[in-house]
Amino acid sequence: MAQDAALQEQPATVEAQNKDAPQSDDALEKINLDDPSVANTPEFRGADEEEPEDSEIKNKTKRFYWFCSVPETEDHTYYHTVLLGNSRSTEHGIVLNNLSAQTLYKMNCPYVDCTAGIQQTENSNSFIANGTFWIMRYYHVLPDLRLKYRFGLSLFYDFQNLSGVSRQHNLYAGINSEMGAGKYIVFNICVLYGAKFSKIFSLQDEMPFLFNNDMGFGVTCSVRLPYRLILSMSISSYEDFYYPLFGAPTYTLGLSYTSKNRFQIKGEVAARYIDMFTLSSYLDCFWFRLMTGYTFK
Amino acid sequence: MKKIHIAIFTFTICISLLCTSCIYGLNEFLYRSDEANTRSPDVVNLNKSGAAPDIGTSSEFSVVVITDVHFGRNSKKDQSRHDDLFLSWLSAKQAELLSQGKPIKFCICLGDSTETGLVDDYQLYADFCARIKTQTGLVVYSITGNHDLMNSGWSHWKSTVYPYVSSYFFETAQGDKKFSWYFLDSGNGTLGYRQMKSCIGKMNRDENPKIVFSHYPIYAGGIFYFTLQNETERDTLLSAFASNNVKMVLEGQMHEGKKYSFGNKFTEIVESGYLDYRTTGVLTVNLTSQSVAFDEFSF
Repeated sequence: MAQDAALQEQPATVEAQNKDAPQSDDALEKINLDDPSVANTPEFRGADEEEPEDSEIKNKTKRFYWFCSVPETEDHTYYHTVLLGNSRSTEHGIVLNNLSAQTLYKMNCPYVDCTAGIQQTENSNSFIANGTFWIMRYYHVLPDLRLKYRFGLSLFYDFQNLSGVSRQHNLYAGINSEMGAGKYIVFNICVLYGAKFSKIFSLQDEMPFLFNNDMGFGVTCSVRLPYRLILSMSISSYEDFYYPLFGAPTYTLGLSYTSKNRFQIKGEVAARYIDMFTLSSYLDCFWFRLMTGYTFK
Repeated sequence: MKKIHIAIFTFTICISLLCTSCIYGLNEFLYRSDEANTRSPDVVNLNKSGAAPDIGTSSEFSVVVITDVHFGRNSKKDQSRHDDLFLSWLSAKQAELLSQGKPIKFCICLGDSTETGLVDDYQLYADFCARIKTQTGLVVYSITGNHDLMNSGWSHWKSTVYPYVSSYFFETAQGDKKFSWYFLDSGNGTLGYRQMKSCIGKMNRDENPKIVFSHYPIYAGGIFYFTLQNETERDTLLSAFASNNVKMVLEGQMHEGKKYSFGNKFTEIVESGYLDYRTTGVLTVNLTSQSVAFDEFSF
């Protein structure tokens, strides 16, 4: 999520970054106050496009927006991104040399982010759908720093068909919180409750499904680098297509590049752990993922 | 140097000292050298190596099962150990079951034999097994728990703990009445791909009724900690158990006992801990009726 948010941020005007600039009303007027339309603009809109001028928010250093409320000048464009990728795990753990093909579709607008995707591996098929409705957005301009905070409700659904073994339905709901400090760093924290249902074919006559309560968490930090690069780091108990029980987090490091013509390429490396709930945590495997995509309005 | 730098430096030093001095091997928190796939790539057949237990002519016999022995620490309840009490109980139970025609043939320990995986703890456990052997004549078959793997404990395990592997199976039989016993190495909270594949392959070729032993609970009624974390692995195992005439799955790790029934297929029992709950279990196998029963006892 945070990575998406970072993708969506648009660079502020030069004045906003200049700590020596006078913090007068005039100076604030020149600052892009990071209104929601900007916050939800993919990064490819960055340097080469004009920022919208928002008369409603001139001279205001603190602003709240609730639910679907937006400034008059809000850009209601919906941005759609399609990503195609391959992922491969190392020769460790329970998913030895697992090769998967993934397709993701993402839609972003000022108050909603949502994703749908499918994954195919040698012996399983997955479908995911998730979304976050940002119910509150808060923008605060300080003399040296612009803070952006948003809070929302998230819903995740994951379906996995494990050939000849089981069908899993994983449903998670929870809260999502994101803070951007300046235009370069975005932190995202997501806390979820999960309900997991698993229908095991050879047990279905005895038990319709197995049920698990679960929890989920994710912490992501995205950093905007020069040359349209975005570096992201995350610790999360779930991945796009992987929803294990709570104590098995994944550490991910990713780097993405988005060109001016809206093409995107993204590489990720991740370490999956098992049983970090106890002191005997265990590195299950590494996986690598390469994705390419395109964003359109 | 700024105060913040001094604070960060001090914090880093403290964390490093904490990690390196922790008896639980926190320095291995992010990486352990003996991963599941290399430690237990195959479920070894003990009948071939001659290490399988001898059940004599008994068609009905008993097995004592303990778990979470944790040599290297005392009970959290009364800060003491009760190993002598257990040995007394075992001798008495051995006589009692012998008189009932269900003699105890061997013992099983379901992991966490040691507290820290250090060599001193392993020596205590080896002494304990030797005392059982001396006093009752029973051999202890063990599998690894997560504590046993701390501080690179696998290197001590494979040299001191019988049968020196942690993933194995054997068959007990009287004529054509047989039972297979599968011991899985789940000390890392996962079997690893190779062990799971080996286990399922062997189960598929084995028509005997089976009993499975694992340190980590496979499902345990749906708790989300202390169980196998990867549901793909869990579902694959449970599916194999249901398809291959598994009668019972016995597990440790939680210390507090739990029982879960998969309908008429099999029962999953998480045994209460030996050290903290002063509990042991007796598994009774009837080869003639192809049935298995489990009871817990306090000592």
